[in-house]
Amino acid sequence: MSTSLTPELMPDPKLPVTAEPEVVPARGTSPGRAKLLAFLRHRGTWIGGSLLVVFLLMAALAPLLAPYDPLAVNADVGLTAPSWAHPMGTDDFGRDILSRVVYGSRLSLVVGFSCVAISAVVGTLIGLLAGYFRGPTDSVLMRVMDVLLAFPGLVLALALAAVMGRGMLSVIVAVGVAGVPTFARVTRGAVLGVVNTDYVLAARAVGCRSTWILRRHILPNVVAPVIVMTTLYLAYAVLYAASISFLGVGVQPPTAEWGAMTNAGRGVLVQGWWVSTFPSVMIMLFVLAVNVMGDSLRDALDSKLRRS
Amino acid sequence: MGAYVVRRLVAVIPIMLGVALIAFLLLHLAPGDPISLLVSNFDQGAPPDLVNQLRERYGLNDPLWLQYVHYVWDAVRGDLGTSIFTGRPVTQMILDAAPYTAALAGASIVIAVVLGVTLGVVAAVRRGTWWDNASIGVSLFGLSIPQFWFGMMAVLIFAVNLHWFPSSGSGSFSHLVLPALVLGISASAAIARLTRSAMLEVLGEQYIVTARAKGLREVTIISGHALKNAFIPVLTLIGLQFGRLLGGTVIMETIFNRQGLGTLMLTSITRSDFPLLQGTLMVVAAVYVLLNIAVDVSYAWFDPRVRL
Repeated sequence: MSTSLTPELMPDPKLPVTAEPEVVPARGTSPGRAKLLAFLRHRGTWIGGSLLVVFLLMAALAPLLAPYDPLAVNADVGLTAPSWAHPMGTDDFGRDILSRVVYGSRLSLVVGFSCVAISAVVGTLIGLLAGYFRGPTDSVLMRVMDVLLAFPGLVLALALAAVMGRGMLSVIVAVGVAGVPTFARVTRGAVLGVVNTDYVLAARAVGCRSTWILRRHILPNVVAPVIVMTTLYLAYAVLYAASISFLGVGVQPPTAEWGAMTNAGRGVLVQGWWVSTFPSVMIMLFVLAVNVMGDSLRDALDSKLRRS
Repeated sequence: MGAYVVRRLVAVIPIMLGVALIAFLLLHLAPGDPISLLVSNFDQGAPPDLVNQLRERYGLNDPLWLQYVHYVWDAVRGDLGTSIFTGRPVTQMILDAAPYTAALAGASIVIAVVLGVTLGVVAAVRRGTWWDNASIGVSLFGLSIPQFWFGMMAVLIFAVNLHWFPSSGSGSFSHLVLPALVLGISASAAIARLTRSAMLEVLGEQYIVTARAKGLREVTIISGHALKNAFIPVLTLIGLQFGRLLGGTVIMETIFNRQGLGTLMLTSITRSDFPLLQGTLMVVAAVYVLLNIAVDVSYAWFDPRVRL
């Protein structure tokens, strides 16, 4: 067994990812369509989805929703408890927490989605190449992935962010890179499951180019696990990015970022619980929404991938 | 089995060489020169020959590859360099800090496994009941709650308000309780979810029906037959949770002002103490890799079908 460091939802490389014999679909319903329907019928899709829509709207309409300027310092109302004027209270600089939380959704969404985009694109590409070409390409790429996986995710991201200098961009790259090996492994596993199927061999036999085979015959088979991984890692990425900012290495104050805001509330935890609580609750709700969506995606797309 | 362990340990060598390379390159390609920090307390800038002398002493004038070879060779002999900030040997600083992190991570993983497996089994056995829903709900929240905020709330409630445990420090057992509980509970969420789904799968197997038909007691069936088989995927996840735990110790050590590797890593980042950061990265990666090998080896113990 060499399953070390494999994510719990990595499909068994020995099995084709969609090994279950599909029930012959009725006329007009493709397997993909059936999966989409299953996804749409899932309760989690609606709960998680509507929460995510709320977050997207919040980010898009931040200037309209935020009652105050998120950066405006007001010494008169320093550290006041939640009230009608400030529904989430104010921090020790008198900044309105609600406004900062609302603006913070922009950063968290941008950071979260950018991280995952980096991990998914780079990781999937590496996994495709490694699984399809095998041989030295495979060895070299996967050894590099093994080395990256030798670091705990947060530790790697933290170190990367630290050397790249503080700020949003380095957090994005750091958390993005930290996620690459997981995607590469999952994708490679899925590729190995189909690379020796008859249709791939036939495509090779008739002289199709590798890029064509990869795009037309292999990629569709790895889409399902990659989508599931994407939602799963989105949840991790948001938590990692917030943790890095919380530890003071990521997005710096006074920028309204949920992790950095929580950290800022640490000094006044006893006098003002609300300063750190509301940004953290937002992180939790966002991650919860993503997790719930991820669960229903997993249920709909791939019964082989276990819940964790 | 012995041969397998040896083979896995040999495979650690290239991985650690890669880890060293990453740790080494990260910090040498990073902006900022450790020497300029070292001499930053000179008001009118440091004398150039002093800078040069220091560069010579730390071997920074050598070509990069030679510096890497020196670094690895020293590391093999247990010398991870000298902290730029404190002037103490990095190895010694790490050895001083490591027991605290080991205690925290060890206590957390025990809590995580006991709590997670119990919750998962209860949920699976009482499928569809209030117990099941509560356990699913709790673990979903556990997955989504940011560890840093969870830790801060624990401090606020159990240290500041109830005075049950100290809020900071790392000396005694009572200092360990809160951070270990926070980390353990947060890691138990994923374990509970996977245990539940693995148990549900196993409980539908024929041999469970047979065991029931034989008239075995339900407790024996659950613990002896079902859990033993369901535990194998859970074991993989536990290996992964080590990574989350090691990352989590950084956060907990920060919140609870505990000594440990995480604190060491963070201070090395804030002080740009490159040798210390390199050293902690190396040690954390080595520990993580070895823990994962231990998990792989333990498969054979839980599952006689696994031949190593």
